[in-house]
Formats: sequence, structure tokens, C-alpha cells
Amino acid sequence: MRKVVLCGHGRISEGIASAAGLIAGNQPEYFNAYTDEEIPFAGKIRELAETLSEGDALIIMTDLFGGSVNNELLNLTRKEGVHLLCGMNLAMVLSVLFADEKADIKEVMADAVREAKEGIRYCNELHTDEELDEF
Amino acid sequence: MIECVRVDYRLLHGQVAVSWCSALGINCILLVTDTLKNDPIRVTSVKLAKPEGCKLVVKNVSESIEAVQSGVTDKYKLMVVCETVDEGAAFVKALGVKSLNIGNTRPGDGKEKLDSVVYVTPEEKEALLELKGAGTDVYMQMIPDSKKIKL
Repeated sequence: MRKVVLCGHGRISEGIASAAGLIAGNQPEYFNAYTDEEIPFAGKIRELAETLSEGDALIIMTDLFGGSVNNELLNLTRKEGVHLLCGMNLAMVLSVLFADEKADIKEVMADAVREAKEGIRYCNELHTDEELDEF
Repeated sequence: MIECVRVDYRLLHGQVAVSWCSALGINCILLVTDTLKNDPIRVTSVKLAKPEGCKLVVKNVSESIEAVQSGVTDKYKLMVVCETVDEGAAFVKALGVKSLNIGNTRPGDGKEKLDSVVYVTPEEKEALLELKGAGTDVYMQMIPDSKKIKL
């Protein structure tokens, strides 16, 4: 069983979660950090980590490498089953949401990083040489 | 074999490509449109939205009907996306397809809003009701996990 949680400065995770919900059909849980209606994200996510069962995974996705949100949550990776991905974009979140339940978690993480990076393009320089197909 | 016929003015984009194709195991997508081939930027964007390992064929409505009637599409798990309600209705009628998903249609003046992203002119609504009367299951469903709403 995998649980996905997004967390970032301001409402970035709320935004990405809503977009993921639109495309994937299920919106991942998120915590906004440093906003007025702030719920202390670190405590809440620590609770999720502490109630993880054997063999389950908690996948935390944050906004910025080196940012305070990610730094705060880095400690939680000491616990078995907690995985932390930073620099989240919509492609990364969808990659994790659509990943095979039975796939190895390390592979899921590697795919997520790769797909996040591959989704970053300067579109004015895109060429697709492939023709459209025929039946 | 046709797995789903959908009306979506955006043709191929994230939702269709990712959620519908993976839910139905699609390996071939047919876009029914008169206008796409004239616009190189739209052609690029549909090619980019194409899922890995999936064929993408673009034809106008009469060529599409001919292709299906000829049997060349039988070997695929085919998703058909029609740009407009008229094309969708014509396709479904000509081939006796049992159901039509009205996905996304362009909003506009004089159009009635049937669902969050579905807008129809009176003539389009008439055409859909006619299909429904003839026994076709006409429904609205944005992604496979959304609730299916019958017309």
C-alpha cells in the first residue's frame, strides 16, 4: 500500500494536487506550509510516517531542494518505508500516481525523477519527425 | 475493435491519452477531424500526447467510417475521438456503435451547458437525443473514474 502526500511553500501543493486530481481522478493529500490557515505540516506528516504498516510506503513530494519544507521532512527518511522526492512538478506526481502497485519502490522513484525531468522542454524547439501513423 | 467513441474538441490531450487509454488498454487512437491536418502546431501537440506504444491515425469522418467498415481496425483496441458532436453522431450512426461518450465540447453563445465541460447547440442536442432514441447509450464522462452521466 502506498500513500502519497504533497507539501510545499504557500499553496503550491494544493495547486498541483488539484491538477493531479483532475487528470488522475483521485487527488493526493497535501499540506500547505507557511500560509495563514497553516496546519503544522511536519507534525502531521510525521504522524503519517509513524502509523505506516510493515511493507507500506509513504511517498512525500516537496517543492524545492534545499528549501525549508524539504529540509524539515528529510529526517523522516530515516524511517523504513518513507520516501522523499523534491522538485515536484505535475509530471512527477502523475508518474507516482499511475505507477504499478506491484513495482519495486526504488524503480517507482527512479521513473518519477526521470519523467519529471523529461517533461521539461523548450517547446519552440520541439520537432517530431515521426509521421502520423496509418492502420 | 472499437473500445470507446468519444467527442472531444481538444482531440488528444492528457486526460484522454493517459487515463482513458490506460483504463481501456488502447493500442490505437483514431482522431476524426477535418481541421487538424491543416494546423502544424496542433499536429505536434497530438503527436506529443500520444502514449508510448500506441498508434495515432487521423482521418476525416468519411475516411474513418470507410476504414472501420473495411476491417483494418479490427485487430486494434481502438479509441475513437471525434472533434465535434456532428462527427461523433455520424460515425456512431454509420457503424452502429452502441455508445457515445460526450467528453469536452467548446463553450459558446447559444449553447446549453449539459455538464461541467459539455456545451451543445440546439441542433447538436437534437442529434444526440435522436441517437439516444435509436438505442445508443449517450453519456458524459470526463475520465474513467468520473461518474457516468446519461444524457
